[in-house]
Amino acid sequence: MNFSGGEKLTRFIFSRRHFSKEKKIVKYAAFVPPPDSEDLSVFRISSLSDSDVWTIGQEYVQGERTLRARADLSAEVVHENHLTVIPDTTPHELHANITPFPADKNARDRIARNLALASELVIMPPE
Amino acid sequence: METPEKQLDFTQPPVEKAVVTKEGLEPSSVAALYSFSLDDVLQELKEIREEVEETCAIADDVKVVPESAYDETLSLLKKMLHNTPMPDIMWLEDGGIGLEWRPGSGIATMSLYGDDLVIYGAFFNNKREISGICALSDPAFLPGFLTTLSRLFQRKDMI
Repeated sequence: MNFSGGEKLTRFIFSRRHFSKEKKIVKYAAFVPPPDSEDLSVFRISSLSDSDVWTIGQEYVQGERTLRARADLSAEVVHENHLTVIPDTTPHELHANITPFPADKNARDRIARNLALASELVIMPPE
Repeated sequence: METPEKQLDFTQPPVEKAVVTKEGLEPSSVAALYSFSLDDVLQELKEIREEVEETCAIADDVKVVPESAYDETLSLLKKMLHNTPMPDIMWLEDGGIGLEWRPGSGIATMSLYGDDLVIYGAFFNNKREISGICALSDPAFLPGFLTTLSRLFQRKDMI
């Protein structure tokens, strides 16, 4: 299943080095997939309130890490980069993967740059 | 502990000399923005090393950054000390060190994994894009990209 371009996605961010609050940007590192993986974990958030999005991040993704921000982007941008959004309902029914990231690091960095430029930074509100 | 981010104004051209007053760098002088110190880099890498160690201890999907990647990052940045703004330096989940600049609404990145290769790329406002992979010691491609990067921050018409 490939979602419509209007679908809104988010990528949770745990490192302060992967975004800039001052510049209001998400850095490309936030979109570099894990080692030996062609999938980048995201959540579909079109149907959720802002607080619901943060709740998912805290309850299903955070673990022992500290959730600091998120990068919101449209599925359309994903499609423009010749990738798709595939549902992966573990650990949550709205979880999905942006896939397939190429193994070639040059191509992968190019996609990460494009997604970073097209995404919107949302800072985790204070508790 | 993290250092505060250096705010850069890429709309201004570099000048020949920084003007230093008793209070520090003269605000109108932007020369300092187009250079950075080795101490800054070493401090950043030290903090990244600590953060990666902490993250790898609690996260399964983050690869340890090899020591050679830190060495190569330091080596690369030494070549850029005096003609390029300090990049944002970051760790990558797949075991690399990333460098990022944001000239105007464009983006330039370099990734290093400790294998003597540099993955570089840039996307400019005018939709021009360059990217590639080359050896850290490459005599042609890497110097070419570094020159482009340097010019990117010194000529508004290139961004």
